[in-house]
Amino acid sequence: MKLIIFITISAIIVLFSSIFNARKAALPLTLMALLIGLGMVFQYNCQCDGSFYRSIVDEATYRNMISFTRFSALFSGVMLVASILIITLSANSIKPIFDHYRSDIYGLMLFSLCGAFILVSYQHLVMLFLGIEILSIPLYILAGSRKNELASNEAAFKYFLMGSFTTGVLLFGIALIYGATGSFDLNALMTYCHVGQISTMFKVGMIMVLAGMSFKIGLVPFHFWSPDVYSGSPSVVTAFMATVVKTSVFGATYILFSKVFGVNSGWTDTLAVIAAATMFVGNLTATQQSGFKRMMAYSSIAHAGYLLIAMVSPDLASGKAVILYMAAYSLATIGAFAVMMAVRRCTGSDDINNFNGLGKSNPVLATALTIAMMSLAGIPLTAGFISKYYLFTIGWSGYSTLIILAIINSAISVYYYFKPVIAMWFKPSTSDIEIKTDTSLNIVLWVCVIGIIAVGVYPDLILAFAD
Amino acid sequence: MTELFFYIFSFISILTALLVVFSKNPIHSVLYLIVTFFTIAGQYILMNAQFLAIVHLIVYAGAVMVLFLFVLMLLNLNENAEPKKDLILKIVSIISSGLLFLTLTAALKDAETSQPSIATNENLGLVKNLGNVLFKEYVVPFELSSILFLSSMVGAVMLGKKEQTTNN
Repeated sequence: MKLIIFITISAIIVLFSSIFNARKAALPLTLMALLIGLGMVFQYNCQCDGSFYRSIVDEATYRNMISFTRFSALFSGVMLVASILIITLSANSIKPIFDHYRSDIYGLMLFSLCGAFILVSYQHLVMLFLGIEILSIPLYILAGSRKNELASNEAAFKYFLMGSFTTGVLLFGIALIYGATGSFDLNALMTYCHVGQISTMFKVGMIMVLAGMSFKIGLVPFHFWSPDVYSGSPSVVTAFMATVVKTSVFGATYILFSKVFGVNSGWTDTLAVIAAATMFVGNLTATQQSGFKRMMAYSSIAHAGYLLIAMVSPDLASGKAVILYMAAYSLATIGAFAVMMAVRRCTGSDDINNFNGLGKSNPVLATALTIAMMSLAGIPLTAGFISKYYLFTIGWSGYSTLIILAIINSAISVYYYFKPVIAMWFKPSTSDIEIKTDTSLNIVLWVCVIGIIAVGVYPDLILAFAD
Repeated sequence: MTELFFYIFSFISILTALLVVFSKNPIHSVLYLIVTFFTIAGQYILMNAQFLAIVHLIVYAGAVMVLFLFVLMLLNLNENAEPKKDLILKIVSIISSGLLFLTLTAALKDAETSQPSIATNENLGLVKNLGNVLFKEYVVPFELSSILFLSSMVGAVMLGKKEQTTNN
């Protein structure tokens, strides 16, 4: 709760910085707020001992609305690190004509982050709904923050219309669950699910909530918005959506389904089918893409599919697997986006052909992208491999067929992840535009690359926090 | 006395609801709909649900109706601008709505009649009771919703601001 209050206040301060003509202060202020937030999360994580799901705060103080557990602390940590990297990345990537929105953009990102924190620590379905809304509304605006660009307008409009519609579905589901149980409280729902018969009304509600959440994560068949929105939005916002938003909504879904409803209340079969469909649709469509951003959009759909394996697994350690996977995925995605933004800034488009010859002209960028892509594909010695390995081992106790399908999909994904890699190292350069980088982009790249390799070699770096 | 009011309100609301459907001018329809909403709000007050009545007026008669009027004025609907409906379209619509009616009757035939819910506390709908719940039990979500409103306001200003092309 303190974290949410702190981030909200810093968001307001960042917003005010543009009034006092201190727009340049917006970036350092935001970064400072996020770093302090990270420190707070770290301190929370040290406070809790024992169970993964024991609340640090006194739940009664907040009327059983919020319960900040070690699970929430770890999720918040991953999201904070991702936000710090993304905001550092944005230092030079916001176009000069939009520079006077800088403080608004950072403020909205911080607001969105507050919603993300609520989503990983809610204890009441009303808070779940509020969290989803606080997370989404700033995102609708951020997606359309390039007002003069048609693609950005389209992205914002599509995301807004579909998003508000599915929020309605989610709300209807929550209402049905309330109708069946007479309570919004997660503890009461847990008791209801584990004792006695589950009514049809509750099941219908559960499926509707699942549909609402699936839209936000981008699971098949609710994924149609993501390629358009991802490619239309400004790259910084896309990176934010692909990492922070996905992590938080996934955390929320995990809390509600795996922890509260439990794997025995009859939703796992539905989710297993969704997982298989998501992996296949995401990976197979990604192979057909020529734009880097669209490819990453489908890749993020596919990764959500892998993550569902942890959701349907009855293993209690599956929460840790989700956190490790999310950390690895976020690092690699942000690294890939950083390289893409450098290429796009200099060549004007994110087509994969623009990566041709990058290995000769700028080997540092090319190496970083290669490592990020290897991590996303799951090649050993990277974070992507170890997190996938951990996820699949834990998932084996649940649906073992799903693991086999996931391994097949990992093989498919190597094909498209290596497209830009091949373009960079083996194809001759088509134009003589020099790809330049700047300090902030280089810092982000180094952090991502070192993070990917460090976690890949020594996964306890992250898992140690969870034990 | 309450019964008299109930009949008056019911009569007006049914009458105006019919007028909404049958009046040719869409603007008149909207105005009749506002009257319908007001009479329904009156029914709520008869049932001692103050908060519901006020919210009903603010949200429906206020916000939604203004939106309807705006849309109608922007679209500039005239009687002759109405698209011509041919016979096939009419038959199709009759069949489809008849099917919907059939399904609904079939579904409702088997439905159990629920127990009429009798309020345990007669003053349940008073604003005071709602305030008590809102500011005690639900104070955390109530306060957090301010982030939501703040961010949507910031967004509205950001998207609505005129582009500065000369400086910057």
